[in-house]
Amino acid sequence: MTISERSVWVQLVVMPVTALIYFSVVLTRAADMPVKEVSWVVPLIWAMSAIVGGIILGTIATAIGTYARAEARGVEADLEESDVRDKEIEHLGNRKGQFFTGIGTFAVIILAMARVDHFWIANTMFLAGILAGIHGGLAKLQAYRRGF
Amino acid sequence: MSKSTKVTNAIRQLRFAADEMTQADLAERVGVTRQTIIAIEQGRYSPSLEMAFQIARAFGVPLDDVFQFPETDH
Repeated sequence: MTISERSVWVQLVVMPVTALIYFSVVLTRAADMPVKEVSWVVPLIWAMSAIVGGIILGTIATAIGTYARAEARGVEADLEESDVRDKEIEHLGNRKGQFFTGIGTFAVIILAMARVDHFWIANTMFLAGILAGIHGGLAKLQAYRRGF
Repeated sequence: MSKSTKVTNAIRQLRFAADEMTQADLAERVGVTRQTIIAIEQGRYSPSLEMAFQIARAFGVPLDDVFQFPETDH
């Protein structure tokens, strides 16, 4: 498995888990008080940092794990650098993900026009980013496993 | 179910004919990952024209001996 494919697997674990935790925290708070009073900025910064950091650290950790397992079994570790096929799959996944980024951008413009609270604008954009990442990641995984 | 490309290839047969060249050896000669060679061999990935020529050159045969494309009416 190449580093890029490994990173996609990690992304597909980190993104939904982080988003689930973030939205559980924020929406629980929003259920008890007006959204204007909900503290969402710090949790959102934490969530975005957790996603970026989680994907980087997760990819490194799984690579180390693969290397250690191979070392223990006395075989060569299946750790390959990315190549032209990985780049093509990366582009394909990003293109697929743009669908949700586009919808999210459109939704944010509408929300801004309606002058809704920043809470809804920021969280709509965050949700669109998460959906774009998951959708793009699944498309990449499908391309890796089934071809494209 | 795998999404096969229309292009078929004889890489597996050519590897065995070339002193049982491994996928890793071929990957190294072409300058790609072993995963890419596996994907091409299984028809899950159509290589670029440049990579196709590199693969044919690695076996020392013409491109047509490695890759085949079915005849169509067009």
